[in-house]
Amino acid sequence: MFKFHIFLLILLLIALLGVDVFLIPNVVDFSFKNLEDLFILNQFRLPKAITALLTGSSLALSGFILQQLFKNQLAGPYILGVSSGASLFVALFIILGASFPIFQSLNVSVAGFLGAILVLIFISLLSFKYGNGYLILLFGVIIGMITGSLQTLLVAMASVGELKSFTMWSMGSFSQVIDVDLIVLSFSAIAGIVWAFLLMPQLSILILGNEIATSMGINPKRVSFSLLVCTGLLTGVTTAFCGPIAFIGIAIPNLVKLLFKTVNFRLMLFANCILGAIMALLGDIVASLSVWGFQVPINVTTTLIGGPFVIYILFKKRK
Amino acid sequence: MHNVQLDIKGLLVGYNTPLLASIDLQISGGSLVIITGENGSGKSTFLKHLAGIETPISGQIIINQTPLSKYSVAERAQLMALVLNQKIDEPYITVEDIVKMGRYAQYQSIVLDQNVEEAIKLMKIEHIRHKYLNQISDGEWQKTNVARAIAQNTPIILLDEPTAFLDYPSKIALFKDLKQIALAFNKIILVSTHDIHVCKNEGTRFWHIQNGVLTDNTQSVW
Repeated sequence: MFKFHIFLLILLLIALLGVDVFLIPNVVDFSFKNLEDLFILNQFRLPKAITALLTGSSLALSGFILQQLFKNQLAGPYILGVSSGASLFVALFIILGASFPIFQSLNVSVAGFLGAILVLIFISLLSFKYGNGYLILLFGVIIGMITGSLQTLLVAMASVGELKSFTMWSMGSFSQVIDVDLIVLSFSAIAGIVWAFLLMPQLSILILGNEIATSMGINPKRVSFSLLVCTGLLTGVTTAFCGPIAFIGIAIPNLVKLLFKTVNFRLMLFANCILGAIMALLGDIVASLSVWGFQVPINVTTTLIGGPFVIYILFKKRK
Repeated sequence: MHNVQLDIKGLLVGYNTPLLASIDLQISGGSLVIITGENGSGKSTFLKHLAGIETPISGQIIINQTPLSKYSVAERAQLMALVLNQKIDEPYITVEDIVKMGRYAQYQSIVLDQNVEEAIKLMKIEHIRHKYLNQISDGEWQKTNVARAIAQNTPIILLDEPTAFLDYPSKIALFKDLKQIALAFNKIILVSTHDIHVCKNEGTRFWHIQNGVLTDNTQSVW
């Protein structure tokens, strides 16, 4: 039954990949008479689709892990301020020119990862002290506001060139992740997904509570810490390259729960990755449609698709 | 199964200050130990210390001549299974999922094997095995938890008030089954309960906690 669901979702994913690469915003001329078409396909459309796929998967998986760890259906990398933390560090990097002694694309990823992990550690400490209820969501929103105002301060200090590059990045985009950047993004996303896959049985046993999990041979603190680092890697690096992308991390895990209704977390991991990629590709396809006459920022489409769904979840929960 | 031996030497349980007076006891395989005492007397705390979840103020818990502190968390999970009297909040977990989790201690993976089937059959929860937790009663939840501990297949099983929500016939049946398991497989099963009248004939040892002292009442109960 579940295998059939996954099979259908994979088919949908492949179809959307095809549409995103070959059909939108205009149909690719497969004769490649014009070498420019081939260049656009290789250097723009294909990397953009792969970036959307990896980013959607990473964010949905991060959201799933955070919702399970904090036992809160509304947790997610964007709401908990993890994306904001990553954004702030990337902004610091772009605007203040702060750099780590490694090459460029790693610099941005390391900045994003550090920002994400710092917020995650902070939120975990709060959750340890005050529980997992609405309070951590509130803290997440406040962290988002604080990092937002710090970013505004940085923007005010920035030059025109830096300002444009930062503003474009903060609206979210899957384009412009090519060459080494794409390799770094692919490597970190795949590493994060494989790492999470290995930790899924432990995460599912944590449902029984930390004390019972301990009696079953699990170290809850170690597992939680590993999963937080994994989430930091997945969210931080994708945010560093594509900007803070809203709603995939909160909407998809809820949708997967509704569709699959299981605690087979390895299956849930695949479902989250596939559906996350589907939502990101869908967002990219809508954003790239030629009818707009310009490239719509990804955040606009993911929010318009994901927002109403999260409101539905809230109403459903209230009932 | 190898005959397990549990020795408790000068054990002081509690958080910072001792909750119970120093405990010295020995138990061998094939025992169903019934622990009674009022609410808040320290039964659950005592069981959590035995399980290694809480660290004792002083003293030792020795299993098969090796102190508990020398075993890793994974090794402990192969020696002892624990059931606490608490609920969980997860809408889409089934009874079978929970019992399957008991196998993690052996395989580091959640699998459906013969142990799971036997535990489900023994606790008579076949008819609800595919039901979600919000579709079962409190009593069925307790049976599910005991099945999970049985599926873990450890020489020692610690159960904190497993009969609290069970109906009378189920209480009698559970104690009979536990005694049978303890004797047939040479296990040590420790059960905290308020249902002393139900398990009088089933327990092989009876410990009672009163005013901060744990005493072996086996002779007086018999």
